[in-house]
Amino acid sequence: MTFPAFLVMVAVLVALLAIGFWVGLALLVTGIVGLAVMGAPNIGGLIAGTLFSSIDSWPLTALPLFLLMGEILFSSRVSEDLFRGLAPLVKRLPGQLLHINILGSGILAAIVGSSGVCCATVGRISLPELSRRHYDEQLSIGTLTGSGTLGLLIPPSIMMIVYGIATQTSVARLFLAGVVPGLVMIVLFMGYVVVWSLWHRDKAPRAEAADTTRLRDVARIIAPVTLIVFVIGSIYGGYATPTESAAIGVAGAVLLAAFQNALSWATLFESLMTAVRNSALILLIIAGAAVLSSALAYAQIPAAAAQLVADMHLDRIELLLALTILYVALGCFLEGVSMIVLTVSVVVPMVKTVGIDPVWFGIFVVVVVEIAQITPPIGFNLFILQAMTGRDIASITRASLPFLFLMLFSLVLFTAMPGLVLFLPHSMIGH
Amino acid sequence: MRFIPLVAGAVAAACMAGMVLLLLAQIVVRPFGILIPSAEDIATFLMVAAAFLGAVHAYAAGSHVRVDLAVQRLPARVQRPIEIVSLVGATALLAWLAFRSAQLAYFAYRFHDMSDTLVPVPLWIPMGVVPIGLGLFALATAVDAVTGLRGGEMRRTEGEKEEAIELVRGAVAGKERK
Repeated sequence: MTFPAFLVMVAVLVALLAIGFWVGLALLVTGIVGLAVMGAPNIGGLIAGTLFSSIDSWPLTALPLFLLMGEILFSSRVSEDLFRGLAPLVKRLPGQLLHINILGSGILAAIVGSSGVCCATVGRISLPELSRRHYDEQLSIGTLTGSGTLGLLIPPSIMMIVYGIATQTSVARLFLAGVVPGLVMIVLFMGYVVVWSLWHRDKAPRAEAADTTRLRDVARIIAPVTLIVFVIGSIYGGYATPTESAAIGVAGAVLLAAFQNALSWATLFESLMTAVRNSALILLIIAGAAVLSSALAYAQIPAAAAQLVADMHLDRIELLLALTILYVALGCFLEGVSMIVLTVSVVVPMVKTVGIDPVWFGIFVVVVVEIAQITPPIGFNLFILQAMTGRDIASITRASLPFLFLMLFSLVLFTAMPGLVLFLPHSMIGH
Repeated sequence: MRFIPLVAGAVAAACMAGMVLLLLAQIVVRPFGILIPSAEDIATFLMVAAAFLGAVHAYAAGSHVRVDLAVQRLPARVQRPIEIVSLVGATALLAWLAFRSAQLAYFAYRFHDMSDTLVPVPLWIPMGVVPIGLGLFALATAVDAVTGLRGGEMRRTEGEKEEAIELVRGAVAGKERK
């Protein structure tokens, strides 16, 4: 009885997505159809209750607040400051200002929770500067699409909040688990730029007539870095829940913008409205997925999937490989949040069967979603760079390819050394 | 008709601002041993309101997430009926959900359901926002469905690509503003 219901649900979902039905509502309808096919009692009451209770969740409140914080900083001058402040620090490294794309994204990733905003904010300053100085365009683009994805991995991360809510994993621990992998990824990216620049000395930018970078500009990155230390430190130290640290972050962002004279009531209102729209979109998808998950649970699909893994005697590596392929395939037509909420209720019981820590798996999923962000046909970061540079999607994808391989390599690294991911959350104060 | 989603969006924005202020107030007064009663729950209820009221605003702003890979390749004369069917379906779904949520809120009111907190809040208040948001959403899709059936100009919802372009435009505009 349950397996035919599952097939019906898959068919309904695929059909709805194919005709371009709104993802959140498509998940909802699929759940409703599934429950109806299985003859669940009082569907209306069940669904109305699920809609409310899926959003009525205290840990979820961090999500709109971090989105708001990102919006306020997006309208501030923080990216200009990052560019000018980081320039004197990296100009002696081979690859010079290209490292700004990576480090700037890394720092910004720690204040905003999404990859697209990260990419656009750093890119709007650095791309014109880099091309003015005749840096290699391919590498300028690749470093941006690649390190833009750090927004998902380095806390705060919208993706981790969504994963944490959907799997009932501690968001605070997920945040901490993302710190070291984020740093590893930065080191890998910077290492690649250094090696590339040493290899291609002929493509190095021409020496500038006047070096406009000044050491005292480094002071400009103090404010954003302080904000990061506050937000992440307060979670690590157990002083604040992710939501409270997000509220502090919003206040910090407003102060920072005010200090730069970049704040007006109009921009603040605009930031609020954008944050409302983006939160509502994600929350609607979460509510739809909650209904779908309850239908899947009613059909006992998660238990069946876990049983399947046990019966097939899959080991960790085989399962992770299969899931990587699944996610990259899904990433061809779904964006990150939808991918996560659609799959985790079934996938997490599967990975628990082979003894994988759900916190570790959260980081794994986030990296895989990052990879999906820079692979066509839909990759948000690719679209952003396309809009910024006017190049076609194929050449932007080519530019991102080395970074895609570095991400895959980091997955191997995290699998071989789970301690990289789990060390910080396990040493967290106050648990 | 056009101002309803905007008003809903503004109310949602006010809820979100209220959330921030409430949580900040709690952090500020806590070291002095003062506790704002049920602050966490009220903040959560404000988010529920912001989510369901914000949904119609997001819809009207054309930014709902959808997969438009297949549909975009179809000729316009096929796209249009698909869009109208989607809108009619969405209207029916949302109206039904609004009705069921209203029922749920009504039961919470009848049976005096209270939140399980220090200062109990009647649950019908946050629950009551859900049918309002969904109802307005249904209204907005219904208006668009009727417009489509009458042969009028259809609202374009953004794909990921348009969204990316808009984000970049916003970034560039932000730069020029200063």
